[in-house]
Amino acid sequence: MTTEEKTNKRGWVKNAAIIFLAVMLVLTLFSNTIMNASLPEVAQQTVQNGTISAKIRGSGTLESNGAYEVTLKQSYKVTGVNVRVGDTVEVGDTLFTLESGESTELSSVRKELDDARLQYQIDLVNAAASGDYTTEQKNIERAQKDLEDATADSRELLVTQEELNAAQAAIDEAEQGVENAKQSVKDAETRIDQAQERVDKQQEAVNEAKEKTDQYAADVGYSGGGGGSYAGLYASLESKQEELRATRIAYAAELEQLDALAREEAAKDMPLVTEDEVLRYMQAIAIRIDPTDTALAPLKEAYNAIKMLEDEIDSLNGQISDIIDSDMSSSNYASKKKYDEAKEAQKAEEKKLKDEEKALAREKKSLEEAEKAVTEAETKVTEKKKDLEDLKAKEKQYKESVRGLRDYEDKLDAANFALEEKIRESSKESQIDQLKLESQRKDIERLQARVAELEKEASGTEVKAPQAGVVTAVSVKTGSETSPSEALAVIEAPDLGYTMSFSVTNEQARRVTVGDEAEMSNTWWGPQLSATLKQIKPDPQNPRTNRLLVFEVKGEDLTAGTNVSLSIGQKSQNYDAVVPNSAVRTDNKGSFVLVVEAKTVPLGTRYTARRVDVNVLASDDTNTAIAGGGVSAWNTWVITSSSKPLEPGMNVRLTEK
Amino acid sequence: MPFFKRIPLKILIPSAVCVLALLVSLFSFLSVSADKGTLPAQDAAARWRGESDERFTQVSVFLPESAAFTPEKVYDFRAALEARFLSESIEAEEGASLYKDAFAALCGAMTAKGDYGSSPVEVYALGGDWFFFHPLPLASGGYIRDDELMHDRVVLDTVAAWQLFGATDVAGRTVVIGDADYIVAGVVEREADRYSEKADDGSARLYAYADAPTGLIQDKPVACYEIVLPDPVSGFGRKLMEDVFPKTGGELVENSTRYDIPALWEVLKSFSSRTIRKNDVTYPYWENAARLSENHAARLLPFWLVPPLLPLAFLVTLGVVFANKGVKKVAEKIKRYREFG
Repeated sequence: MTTEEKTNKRGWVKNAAIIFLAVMLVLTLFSNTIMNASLPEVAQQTVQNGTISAKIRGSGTLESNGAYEVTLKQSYKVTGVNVRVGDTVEVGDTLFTLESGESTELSSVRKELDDARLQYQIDLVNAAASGDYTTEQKNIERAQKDLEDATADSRELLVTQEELNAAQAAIDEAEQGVENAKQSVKDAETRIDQAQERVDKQQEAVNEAKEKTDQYAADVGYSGGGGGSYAGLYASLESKQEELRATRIAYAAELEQLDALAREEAAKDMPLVTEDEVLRYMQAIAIRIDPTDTALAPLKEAYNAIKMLEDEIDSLNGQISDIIDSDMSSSNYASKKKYDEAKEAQKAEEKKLKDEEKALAREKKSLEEAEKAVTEAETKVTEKKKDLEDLKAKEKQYKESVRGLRDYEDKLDAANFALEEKIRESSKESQIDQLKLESQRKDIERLQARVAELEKEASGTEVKAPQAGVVTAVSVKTGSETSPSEALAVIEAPDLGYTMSFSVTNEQARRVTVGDEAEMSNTWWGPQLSATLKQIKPDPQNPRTNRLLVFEVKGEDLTAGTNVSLSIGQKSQNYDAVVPNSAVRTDNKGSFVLVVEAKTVPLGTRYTARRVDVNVLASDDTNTAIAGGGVSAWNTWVITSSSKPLEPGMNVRLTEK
Repeated sequence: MPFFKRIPLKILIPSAVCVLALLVSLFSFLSVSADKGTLPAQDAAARWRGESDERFTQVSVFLPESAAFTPEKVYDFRAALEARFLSESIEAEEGASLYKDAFAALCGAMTAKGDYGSSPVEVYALGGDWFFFHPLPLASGGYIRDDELMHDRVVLDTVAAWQLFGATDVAGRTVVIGDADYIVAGVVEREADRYSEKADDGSARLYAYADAPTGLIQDKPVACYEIVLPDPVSGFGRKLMEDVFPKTGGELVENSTRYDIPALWEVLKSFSSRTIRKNDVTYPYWENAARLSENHAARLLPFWLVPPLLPLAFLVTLGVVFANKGVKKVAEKIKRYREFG
């Protein structure tokens, strides 16, 4: 080996050593990071002192303490439902109306009785064929005839449900008519008020216009000087106008009477707006009514008076205008022009007032008509109610007559039984036949008793509210058939409160005592609701393992059937060392926690999981109270979760926050 | 390489083959060991043993629905088991327990409703300390335990938590299934190992108590029962389970020994027929994952056990050759000594 070769060899060794040392240095520097990456990552939490409060939760349905189920003992067809869920009813309010007549059960038993009677009679006739029972048979025939006659009489009194319904419908219709008419009266009154308001307003407008006219008249000197004659004329004009107004009112009154007469004569109704129309109307009526009729005289007089007064007023106005014109000079021309305009405006306002007064008169007339319509509709209601009462009275008579039929049926039965007795006494029939007849008779007696019982407990045609409260359920509708086993409606008395219950295990039941207050889990109920544990009793479904917690629930706006969630439990207890449930582990030696221990090493801190055996004192949903192992609050950090399975003594890394 | 040049090829090649075989065996051994440690659900016995010197074993029983094995039967079984321990004079230390068990019923998909929305979730009805056997990492909150006072809480996995609440820190919130409210106790991560991922169908999971007071899942039979129990001598625990557990047509698996050579050999022997099922047992997802890893380990078994035989055979051959050479040399020396004195 040459010297050069030896030198190359040494260089290679040196390079290798440098690389090795460099790698080792890097690994040393990052050893902590590299090691940490392979360690399980753990979340830790400090041990705290705190409370443990084990709660029992459950949910159930509210049941009313004052729920009353409205039931009927027999089956009927419902013809009307007068209440809805949520309605408040008082004792005696009609809840449902039922079809008149017998219940399904009664009809069925009665049919059975009729069949039994028929069969009995057939057998009786056969048995009587071989003997002389003339007297008994005549008695039977008589009883049969009496029964047939009574049945025929009774049938005449029969009132069908359709008739009753029609009568009730007629009442409803008439009542609706009354309501409509009353509404018309109200509308007319409103319109009159409005028209009166308009008249008042218009009157004010006239007064204002008049004041203005007077003011301008004073400006142009109509009230003094040469106006002495003007003032007199003007006062005369006002007097005439007042007279004209009174005459018009009298005329309108006469016209109304005449109008009533005219309506009787002809259907034609002419709107009377202007005097000319009135005149034409008068003439038309005069043709139809005797012209000599004194009824027209006052109207004619009033009309003539109006015409006369209007002429006089026109004359006065003309005179006033003449005075004004003669007095008019170039110096006060502007004032006079204003006066003329004001005068025109006053006339226009007066005309409007006249129109409004006419409109008011028309509205008053329509009010009278509407009031008359109300009276007529009320009379109609009274009549229709009387019709219904008559029908009901007839129906009552029918029912009484039907009950009377029972006497005839009993008489017929008695006649039949007498025949049977006679046959038995004669001993002509075989013993078997006698026994058969006797059995049939007993059947008939049994069915009679049953019919009597059903008749006694039969309902009327209306189902009344047995207690005041809120209707929480209605299970029938119009046209449906009731059933004795089914409640027609449920009425709750909210004042009596509600109960709810749920099942818990015996262990859970031991944690609570009667009288404990429960909290609402349905937070949306708010604080208005309170629940108190009223009773702890065996759960009928699992009496060995479970118990029922029964709560008294009170609050606003509660209804039966509402689902309520409650939470009840022990009072909170304080403990010195409380950890999350996930920190407590178990193995075959018992419970333990893993405590994080930190140890400072040259390149950082190393964390180790150390096992500490503890006793579990109590726990709730989230936390566990522990004791032992030197665990104390605030000084010990326990591992609550880990990214990998942990064993005591393992190095761990803490979760980066 | 001068060193290797001096070695004759007839030695070098077999030696290289032997080293390679040993490497293959070592890799297979490490891979099987990794399989064994991958699934915490198969390692409950070690967790239960803790720092104790006693031996424990984990056994699982998978039950068909037709067995109708209700939670009540679990309680009966526990009583029978404790009586058996007593008769075997196996006693627990004061304040401790000899065994830990858990069971699960597979309730199928149900629609759950959270604050964020509704979603179908696979519901698992649990009993015992199920999360001891399946220590899924907690994302928030805590697990549910059998000894809790109220059994109206549930645990969600992260998928369910996201679908129902849009978050994972949802402990204390309420999940509605049907008309019943359940309080979320915690949210767990899903298993992230390759076998669990293969066995995972991706559906959201909800874990509830089998005896939840609402009665929603009470009627479902137990599909899987798991227990960790003393095993003072090998096979004792399994034998005890076979004796005491009701014969219901299920399958019994000893989890603690399923990666041992005899068990893996059995798997390998029946590998082609393992897919044939003669019962209606439905494996839960964690058992499917375990069976996948078991298959993998069984496939590696020949690569673990056979390759070490090659160096052994090579060494034996060498020994024989050298021995023959030595014998020949001794014989020649004797011969020479006789010939030449």
